[in-house]
Parts: sequence; structure tokens; C-alpha cells
Amino acid sequence: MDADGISSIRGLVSEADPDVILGADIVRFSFRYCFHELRIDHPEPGLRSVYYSAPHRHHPLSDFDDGFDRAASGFRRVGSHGEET
Amino acid sequence: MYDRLVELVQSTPSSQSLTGTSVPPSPSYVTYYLRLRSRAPNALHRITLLESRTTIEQGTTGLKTWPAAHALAEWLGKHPGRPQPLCSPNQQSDMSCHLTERVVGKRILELGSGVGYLGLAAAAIQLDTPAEGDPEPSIWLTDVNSVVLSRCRDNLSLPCSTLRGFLVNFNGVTDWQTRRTGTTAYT
Repeated sequence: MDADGISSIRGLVSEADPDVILGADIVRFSFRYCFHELRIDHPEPGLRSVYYSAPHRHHPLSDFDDGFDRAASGFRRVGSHGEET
Repeated sequence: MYDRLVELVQSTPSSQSLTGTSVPPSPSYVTYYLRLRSRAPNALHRITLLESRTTIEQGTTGLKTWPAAHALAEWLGKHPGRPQPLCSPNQQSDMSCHLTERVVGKRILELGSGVGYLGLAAAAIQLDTPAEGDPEPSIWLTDVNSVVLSRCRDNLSLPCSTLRGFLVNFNGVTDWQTRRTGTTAYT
């Protein structure tokens, strides 16, 4: 996802002001970058949760593993604190 | 890389017609069953969607439901959570304060909603465990492909949708490139 895509999603999130953001198969859509951006951009971490899943155990997500959790079942589900498993 | 993958997969014949030309299978109505926590053990929520039977159709992978959507929907169904009204601002940093927060009573935005399975599942979960004082269920469904968005809209309106009869305010199916937004109440 390019910078314009991330910027557009930021605007969408700002407009919708969701409590929860869901994303399935985010690796395929490169959502992982914008999810990471959205998580750290939120002014009050913890008030907005992000749950996402990826279908395979070995997707190369190690580039933003800080604070994110890995579920034993092969996909990841995370909250804004990375607490969801 | 994604564009190249689409190109390669589309160039692979999936079936042959009588004339020898490649003919992809037509879209099918598929019914999925989702177990919700508050229901009886054998009671399942039903979600029917019109979706593609090929990996890639019309240049997109978004016209079918993928395993990751099932995985997330199943997990949310098992852990719908409840808002924590006693969760004070001072407790916001307390991990236990957030563990029960999922989708119930929440404003939801789904990125990459595809043909609508996860969004419909989240709506069903919200409706399955309502509580007095909950805000009106709200879901934003988004995708980047106009064909996918159109299919998603159609699926939300299917006569067999088990959400019919409920007041569900999907706050729009939005294309995040052109930011088209519309609000539809499925009653």
C-alpha cells in the first residue's frame, strides 16, 4: 500500500471514528502497514482496538512484531495493546 | 507483485467449454454457519452470500470469502465481549479493562470487506448480544474495488439475509479511493 492509500485510510478512519477496526487477510492487501500506522497514530492508545487475521502461520510479519502477538492457531488477532490471542 | 499474481492466475484456464475456450465457473450462493456464544449449542447463525468460485475473478480476489475472514468471524463469535461501563479513564491502561471489549456495542470499521462475510458476522454478533444503553449498531464496510463493493451491497440486501427484520444501520459501503459513502438501514 502506498502513501496515498494509507493517507486515504487515515481519512476514512477519522471520518468513521470507529471503536474497532477489523481486517481479514491483511497481508494480501498490505493492510499490515496501515494497521501499524493506525495503531500508533491513535491519540489515546487503548481506546481503539484493531483485530485482524492472516491465513497462514508463516507470513513475514516480523517487520512490526513489536507489541503484536502471535496466535498459536496460525493467525493473529491483536488489540491496541497487542493483547489479543 | 499482486498485479502479476492476478495476471498469472487469470491466464490459467479453469475449465473448458464445448468450444474449447476457457470458461470460469459462475458465481454461486454460498451459505455459511456461524456459532454465536449466546445461542443454544446447536443454534447457528446463517449467512448467505453470492460469491465467486474462482480465486480471481474480474481482476480481483475480493469476490470470494477467504479463510482469514472465517477465522476472525469465528473468534469474534466466541468472544463477542461487552462494553465495560465501569471502566474509568484511570483504568484505561489496565489490560483487564480491555479484555472484554470486542464488537458488541462498538462502532466498527472493516477494511477490505470483500463480499461482506465478516461485516455480516460482526453485525450478527452485535445483534445477538444487545443490551440496554448500547448505541445503535454501526458498521462501515469498505473495499477498494467497485465490483466488490457492488457485490457486497447486493449481498447485504439478499432476501434470505437473517439480518432482515433487525434495525441495522450499516453506515455505508465506502470506496477508500473515491470516498463514496452511503448509509443504508436494513430493516
